Amino acid sequence: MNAYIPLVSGLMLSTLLFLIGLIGALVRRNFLFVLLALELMTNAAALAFVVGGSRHGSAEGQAMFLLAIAAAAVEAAVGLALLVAVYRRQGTLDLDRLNRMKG
Amino acid sequence: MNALYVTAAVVAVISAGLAVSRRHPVHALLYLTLTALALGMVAYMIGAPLAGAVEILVFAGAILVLFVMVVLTHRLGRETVEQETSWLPPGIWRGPLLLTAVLLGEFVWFLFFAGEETTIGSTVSPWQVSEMLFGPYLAGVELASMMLLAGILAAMALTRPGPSGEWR
Repeated sequence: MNAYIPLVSGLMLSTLLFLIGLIGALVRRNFLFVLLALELMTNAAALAFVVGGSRHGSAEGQAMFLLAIAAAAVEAAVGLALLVAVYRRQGTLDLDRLNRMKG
Repeated sequence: MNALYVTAAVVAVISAGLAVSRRHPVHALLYLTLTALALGMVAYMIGAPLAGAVEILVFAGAILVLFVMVVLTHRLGRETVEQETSWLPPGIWRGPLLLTAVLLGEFVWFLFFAGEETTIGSTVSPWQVSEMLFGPYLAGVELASMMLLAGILAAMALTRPGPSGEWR
C-alpha cells in the first residue's frame, strides 16, 4: 500500500468539503444554512489535521482535531443563540433583510 | 481497504453537497449528519480511531443534534410550509437510503470480513493522543474549557428576554 495515498486523497477530501462549505456559506441567504455551511468548513479544516497527523504517525494531529471540534461546538452554541435571538426579534432569518445593525 | 476508504470519502462529499443545497432545514441537517458519519469512517480508516469516535459522538451526536433541536423547537421551517405539506413524496427516500446503505455495507464488511489489518497507514492510538493532550498541550485543553464556558455564558446572555419579558 502506497503511503502517500492517505495524505493526498485525504487532503483532497478535506479541500473538497471546505469548498462545498464555502460555496454554501456564500450562496445561501438563510442564517441557519450559513451556520451549517460554517460547521462543514470547520470540520473539513479539522480533518486536514487528522490526515497530516496520520501521515507522520504523530498524535499532534488528533490533539489539534479535538481542540478544533471544541471550537466548532462553541461556534455552534453562540451562532444558534444569535439565530434564536434574531428570529424572535425580527421574525426572519433572511440575511439580506437583516443588514441593519440598529436594534 | 482502499476501496472502503474511497467509498466513505465519496459518500461524505455527496452528502455534504446535498446538505448545502437542500431547501428544508431538517433535510440539510440530516445530510450533514451523514457527512459526519462518513468522515468518522474516513478518520478510522486513516488510523485515527479517536478522531473518528469524536467525529461521531461530538459532531454528529451533539453539535448537529443541537441544530436539529433549535429548528424543531422554533419551527424555523415555517417559511417552507408549502414544502412541508408535500413533505414526504416517495422519491425523497432514495438519496438518504442509498447513502446510508453504502455506509452500512462498509460496517457489515468490517464486522464479518475484515482481517486484523483494517487501516491504511499507521494507527495513532487514543492513549498517545491523551498523553499528548494532558502533557504538553494541557494549557490548550484549559483554554478550550474556558472557551466552552464563555460560549455557554454568551448563549445564555443572548437568548435572555428583557426585564419585563419582552425582546429588547
